[in-house]
Amino acid sequence: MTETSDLTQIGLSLDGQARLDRFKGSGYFGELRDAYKFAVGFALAKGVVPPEIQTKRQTMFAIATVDPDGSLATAIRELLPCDEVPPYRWAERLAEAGSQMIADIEVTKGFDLGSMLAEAELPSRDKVAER
Amino acid sequence: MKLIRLTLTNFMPYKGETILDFPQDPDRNTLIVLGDNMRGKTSLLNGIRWAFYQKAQGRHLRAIPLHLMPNRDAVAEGDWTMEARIEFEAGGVYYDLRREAKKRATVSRPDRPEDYQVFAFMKKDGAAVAASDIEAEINRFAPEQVSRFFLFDGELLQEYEELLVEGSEQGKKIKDAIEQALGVPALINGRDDLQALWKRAQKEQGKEASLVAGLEAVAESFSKWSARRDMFEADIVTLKAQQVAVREERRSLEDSIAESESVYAHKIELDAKRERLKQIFTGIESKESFKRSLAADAWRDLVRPRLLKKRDQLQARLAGASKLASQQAKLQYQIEHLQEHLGDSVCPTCGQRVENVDRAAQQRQLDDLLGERAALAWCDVNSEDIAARHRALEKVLSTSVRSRVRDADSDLSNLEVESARVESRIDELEEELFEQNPDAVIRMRQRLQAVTRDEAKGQIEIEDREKKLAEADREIQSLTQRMNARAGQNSTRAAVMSKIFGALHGVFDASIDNLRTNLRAIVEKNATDAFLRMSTQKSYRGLSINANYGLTILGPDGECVPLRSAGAEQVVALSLIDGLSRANRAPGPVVMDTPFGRLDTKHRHNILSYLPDSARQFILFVHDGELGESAGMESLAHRIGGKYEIQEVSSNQSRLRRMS
Repeated sequence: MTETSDLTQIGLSLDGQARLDRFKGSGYFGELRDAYKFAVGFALAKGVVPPEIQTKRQTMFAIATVDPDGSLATAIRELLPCDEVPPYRWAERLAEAGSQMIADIEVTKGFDLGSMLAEAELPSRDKVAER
Repeated sequence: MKLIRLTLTNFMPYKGETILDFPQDPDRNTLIVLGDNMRGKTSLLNGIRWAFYQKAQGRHLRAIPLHLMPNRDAVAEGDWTMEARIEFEAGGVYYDLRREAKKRATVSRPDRPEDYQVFAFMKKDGAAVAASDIEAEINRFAPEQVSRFFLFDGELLQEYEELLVEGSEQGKKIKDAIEQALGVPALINGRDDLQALWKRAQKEQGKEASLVAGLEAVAESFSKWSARRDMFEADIVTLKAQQVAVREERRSLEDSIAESESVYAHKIELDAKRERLKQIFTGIESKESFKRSLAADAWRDLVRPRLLKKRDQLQARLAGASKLASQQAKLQYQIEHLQEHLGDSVCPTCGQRVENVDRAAQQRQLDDLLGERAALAWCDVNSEDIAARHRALEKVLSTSVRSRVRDADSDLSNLEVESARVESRIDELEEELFEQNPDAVIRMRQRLQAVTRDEAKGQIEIEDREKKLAEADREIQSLTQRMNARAGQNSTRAAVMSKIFGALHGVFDASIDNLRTNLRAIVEKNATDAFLRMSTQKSYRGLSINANYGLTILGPDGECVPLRSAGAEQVVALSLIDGLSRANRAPGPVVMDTPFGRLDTKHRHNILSYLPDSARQFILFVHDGELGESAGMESLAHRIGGKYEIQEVSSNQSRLRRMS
């Protein structure tokens, strides 16, 4: 597989950033980058294949900061096709989609890390077919 | 003496008129009044005491101020008149004694004892007795000093146990009270008067000696020691007065602290709960922080189920690649073997010549193998790439925080439940402490510590002065002897008086000792008789009395029994009171308030069997736990001549109901 050139800095839409700021401000996460990765993981877990971010994107972190050991990229590579869209570009889209999904849950059920992790263990009909 | 009827009006919790009839049948001479704590049992005892002696006792046997005695509800309705009336028979004469407290006309709302006036009235066989003669009349058959032998409660019983503690201040006080009741003070007062006269004569003798040639130095020394003795005596009087004040403050503090014990306990609990709440909040914050730290890796757990599937697929592919490599190696070996064989006309295995027919067959076999290898190569995969992906996935999966998040959530949940409980308790406590002043209780406790220290220090100072006084006395006696020896036949009047008073003082001193010894022997015998009737331990030989009138149980071989249970202490105290009572007066009524707190059923049975025989009337104010149907009532059943129950009307009011 051949990946096109990837990002060295990743970010989010302004709305997405505002959501992550709120998550951190509410005490769900110690750092913004943790909230960012959680949003990515959440979207991945739900099997979302997100579209490109349509609004203005703003960089937030250097890759070396947010994914120093490349684990996040590994997970994305395994779960999404990275020939045309490289992992960190997927990461931005996933973070955007994931943060929105979490924000929706926050409104309806409230943010509960333990429940979210427990739910992730359950089989989901929404998940796309594995590669 | 025999009690006939007690009538109380607005007396403590008894609003309006309350009548208690005492049993008159000698065979059924026991009266039981049942009542819960705080309902008014002690008030009945106080009703009798107040009628006789115009005194009522509260906790620690301290006097209850007069203005706090009238019933509160009656006072609230503007009725400030209180009365206790006791009708009794003594020496074949019927007495009607009535004592009444009334608000002074000049006082609108009385809030001090002085705001009341007390009037006593007595009729003797229907004839009025002059007010000035009433006390003398009472003293004929029930002097106040003796009242502690027939009007007593559990607290007084406990006080008697102090008699066993040698040198205890309380013990000395009770001993004085006992001797007062037994008549020793008559001799003691005589001795003290003689001592005063003797001292005066000694001083006179010293003055005279200073004028006698050769006695100047002795007289001067006598004068110095005499001055020192006066100083020590004055010191002792001052120190004792201070001690009384300190002790009074200590007792008052103890009472106040006891009354506010619940406030203090609530304050302590409130402080502890507040501290615990702080700890809970710190714990919650710490757990939240820990959870936030776990959240950094939580994304891994979110994708874990999908990545595990990926990992399993990669593992399967790795296994397939391994199998393929093994097949390829096997084909390669066979191909290489055949190629070698075909290049040589001799069989490499058996060394025989190979025919052309066989070679053609082998060439076909080689072609098949080469075809097979080519097909395998078509299916070849990059196993190194799969292995690298597998390794990378394992790394992602190596960290999981889910179980730790679950544990932290569980801890947080527990802490939140506890915090809700603690907060609720804090609210309750704050409400209970509203308008209370727990800090004042803490200050009282601190003050009590200081006062207790002062009391101990004061006692040491008194003992020091008493030692010095004894030394001064010895010196003065020695100097007096020297002056007497020198005077010889030419004694002055002062010297003669000094000798006479000294000798008389000695006689009184010895008489006091003799009287005490005799009284102790009588009390010991009486108390032993009572004890042997009341004790459940039949192997005991009896009781031995000490100088303080404290009693020690004697074991089977006459040895002292050092350790006694609380119940045994109470039986001994009862025996002492009975012994003292019988040493001092003719049989009369015995009125006991809540006396059985620490007694087991057998002791209670023995006591209840004995006291109705020992006393002319046996009046018991008890609660259910002390004397219920299952707690000793059957021992008394055949002696009960009356039974009452105290019923609660309101927090300020109780009433008596006759049950039989």
